[in-house]
Amino acid sequence: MDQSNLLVNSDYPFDKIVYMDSGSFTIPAFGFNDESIPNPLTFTPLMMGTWSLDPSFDVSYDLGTLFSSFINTGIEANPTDIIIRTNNSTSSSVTFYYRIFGFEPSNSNQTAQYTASVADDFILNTDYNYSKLFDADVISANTTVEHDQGHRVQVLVWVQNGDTITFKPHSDVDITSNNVTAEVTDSSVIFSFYSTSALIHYRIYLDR
Amino acid sequence: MKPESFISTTDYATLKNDDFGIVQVTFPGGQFFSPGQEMTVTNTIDVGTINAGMRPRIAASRSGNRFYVCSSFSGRRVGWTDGAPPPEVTYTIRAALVRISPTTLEARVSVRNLLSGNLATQAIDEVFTFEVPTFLSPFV
Repeated sequence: MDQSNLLVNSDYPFDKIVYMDSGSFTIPAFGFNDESIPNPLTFTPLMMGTWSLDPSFDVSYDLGTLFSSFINTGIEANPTDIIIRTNNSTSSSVTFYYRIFGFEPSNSNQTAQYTASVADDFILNTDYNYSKLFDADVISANTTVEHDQGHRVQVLVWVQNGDTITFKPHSDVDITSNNVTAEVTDSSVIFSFYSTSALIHYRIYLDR
Repeated sequence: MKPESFISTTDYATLKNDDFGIVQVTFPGGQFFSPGQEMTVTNTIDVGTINAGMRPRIAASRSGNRFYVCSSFSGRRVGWTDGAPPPEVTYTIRAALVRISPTTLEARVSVRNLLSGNLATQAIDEVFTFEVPTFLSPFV
């Protein structure tokens, strides 16, 4: 059976969001803003999120993805701070709205604050198909994870350098130093390291 | 106990799958660029509900059609610049997914000539395939 078709699967855990925040700040024209938010957790979370130039978030973008080459963004975390990095190449200052959330790394065994009360209204809603976590780990060398689903699956990747963990939405496939890549096939996920001492935190889902 | 010790827990927000779409962009081969010139080819796809995030994968036909986990992709290609015979040079081809409306994504592939001379690319078209699963964050 294609596991993607199941709304939930008790063989595989739901994602647990252990941190959520939203807010806004200004990025100057032709400038940048590295917005630091104190990390309230006892571990460094795996962060990701969305941003918008509109408080309604009707048009929103994923942190770390390109936006017309005008505003570049990234998100990272360390033991003391969560940092949203922005760079504005336009001739006008912009108000940058963000919604961020994070997961606990697989190599952490800490408890975490509850987040259900600040999220959407339902804990479980059969109108939705929920992400089914197949595997999560942190690795330091080339690794192939077999999932055998018969279709390419969803994967999230973060790169850790020192004590900083950065969400990695970009892939530079021909760089042979200081680089990591993640490739997905119908049966496996292949993580590759190129002359780097970085770590990869990954989350692999059963979903297509 | 850490949250991940549980299959499901009512204490933590979670993520929901939303939609799935595929879009392709063909970057034509045999292009000629003057210094500083850039060419971008685009295609759009309607996928996902308002505020949905994405977990995309991108494959390039000249990178073995291997799907990489990313929303933007860079690859190195061989072309030629001025000279007789024209020497080989390396240039970068970039692919990215950009949201242009609440439910529409634009897939973009671009090459920019950063050389001080002209750039000629190989004659073979290159096809980029973007697979776009979308998801709903705990804010939605």
